[in-house]
Amino acid sequence: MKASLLFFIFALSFQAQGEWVLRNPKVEFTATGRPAMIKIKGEGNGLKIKSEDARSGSFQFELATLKTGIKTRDEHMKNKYLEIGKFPVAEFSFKEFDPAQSLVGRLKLHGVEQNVPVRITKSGAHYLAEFEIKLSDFQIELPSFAGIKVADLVRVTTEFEAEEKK
Amino acid sequence: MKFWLVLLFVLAPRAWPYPEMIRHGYTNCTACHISPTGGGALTAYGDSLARELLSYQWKSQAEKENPEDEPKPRRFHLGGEIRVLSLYLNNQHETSRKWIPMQVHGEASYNDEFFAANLRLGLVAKPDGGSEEEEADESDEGGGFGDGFSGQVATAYVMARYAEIWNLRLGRFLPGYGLNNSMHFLGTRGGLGFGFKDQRTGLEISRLGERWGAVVAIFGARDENQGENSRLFQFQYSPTDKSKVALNFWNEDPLRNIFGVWAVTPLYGSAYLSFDLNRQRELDLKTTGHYYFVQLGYEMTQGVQARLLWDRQQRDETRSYTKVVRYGPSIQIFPSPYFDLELAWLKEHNRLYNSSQGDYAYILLHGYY
Repeated sequence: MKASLLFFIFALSFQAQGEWVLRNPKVEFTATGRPAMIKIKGEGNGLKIKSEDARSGSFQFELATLKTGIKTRDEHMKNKYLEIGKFPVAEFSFKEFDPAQSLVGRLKLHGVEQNVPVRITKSGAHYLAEFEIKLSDFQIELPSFAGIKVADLVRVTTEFEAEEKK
Repeated sequence: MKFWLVLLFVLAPRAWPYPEMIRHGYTNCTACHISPTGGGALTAYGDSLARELLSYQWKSQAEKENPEDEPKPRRFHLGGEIRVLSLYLNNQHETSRKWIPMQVHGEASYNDEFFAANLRLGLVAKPDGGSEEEEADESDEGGGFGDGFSGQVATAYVMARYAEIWNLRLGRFLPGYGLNNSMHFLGTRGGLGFGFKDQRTGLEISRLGERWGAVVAIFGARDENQGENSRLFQFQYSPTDKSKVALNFWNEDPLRNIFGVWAVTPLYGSAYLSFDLNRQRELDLKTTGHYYFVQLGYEMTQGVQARLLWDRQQRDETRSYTKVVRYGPSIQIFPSPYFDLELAWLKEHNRLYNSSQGDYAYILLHGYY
């Protein structure tokens, strides 16, 4: 579960050259536990950005900030499945970002890199990015607990406000 | 007829279902219970959740640093349940305070990916009077309890599962009409006759999917004096990942039709709302009644739920003396897994007693495994 990441986008009207700061970043994921179709939602705020220029850069998300509302589940998620001791950060790299279009970036999670298409919605300085990943693509064992097994597909959304550093 | 009656016959033989868990993303009962309509035997996951999410966290530092190992799915389980009530009534009819041992049940269950079976036997508080006919007559009216215990086969069913979301159940179990809420002693359950007297033998098919679900069931008569076969139709929908609404229809020729809607939804923060609104048409009497229940809850901290309750029932809308309204605060505390207690102090208006306002308070102790 988890996948936690997010990122992207932004870049915005990057006509500027430089660095961007994020405000109120939030990364959420939704996974489904089967059977019973349990909705597992996690949330974290450890998102940072490193912009190289107006159209490229990367987001780093600190996986340890993820919480799902149940401590034991959080422990299992982070230590047993995401293995944050070895892979503490998920990173999304992007190039040639155009805020009017969706984006395909490179997500590195659990030590594995994959291309990930991202849907972006921009409203002023507010950005919403959505994408889906398969845990198996990142060599993450499908989490299971007491007969409930998490489905391979995980939805991730990221929200933040971005502004140019002055 | 005594008021605490109404309480008893609803509070009897089910392991509490807690539909408030819907607001944590558990929109289908089968995450925690074997039964697709909730209550009764717990799954291994439900057992774990009782510790991790439902009850107060008394964990030692060592336990916090070393969370429990993953429990294995359990196929066989032996469990049980006990419930004791202390009820206080104060109205124009009576002032009383009494402790009532309500039920003791033992339960055996089998549960795997494709098949489940459940048998639940025990003792429940017996209505005053004794004969089966008298008990049946009293159940809808909320007659009197307190005359010892009687044996009961609460559930006895087998169930097959298909493709994770389909369930076919055959045997004796409680019809899944309405919000299966532990608060239903307040009248919605009691008034509508889905209390512990109303387990029936039937066949039920249910689909419990990610967004929508449905339950269709047919049941035999509750007993020879209570109607013919019954049919249940329920449609469920989860508009969000943490809320659920359901439409219910119950047809029991030639006695009655019931139509209802219930929902559970989170509000702001740890607050939540649930309601169960029903209208009943009694076909033989040609009368219409309503049974409304609304609950506003707030999780003060894990294991402590504060609630405001409002319940109104009127069996015959043309006769005001059939109206009973109760409202007030309650608090439910889960100090440890497998045990909870609930305290409520409600105001009651009961037109039958010409009561302008009375007190209806209780402490309920509930243990299960």
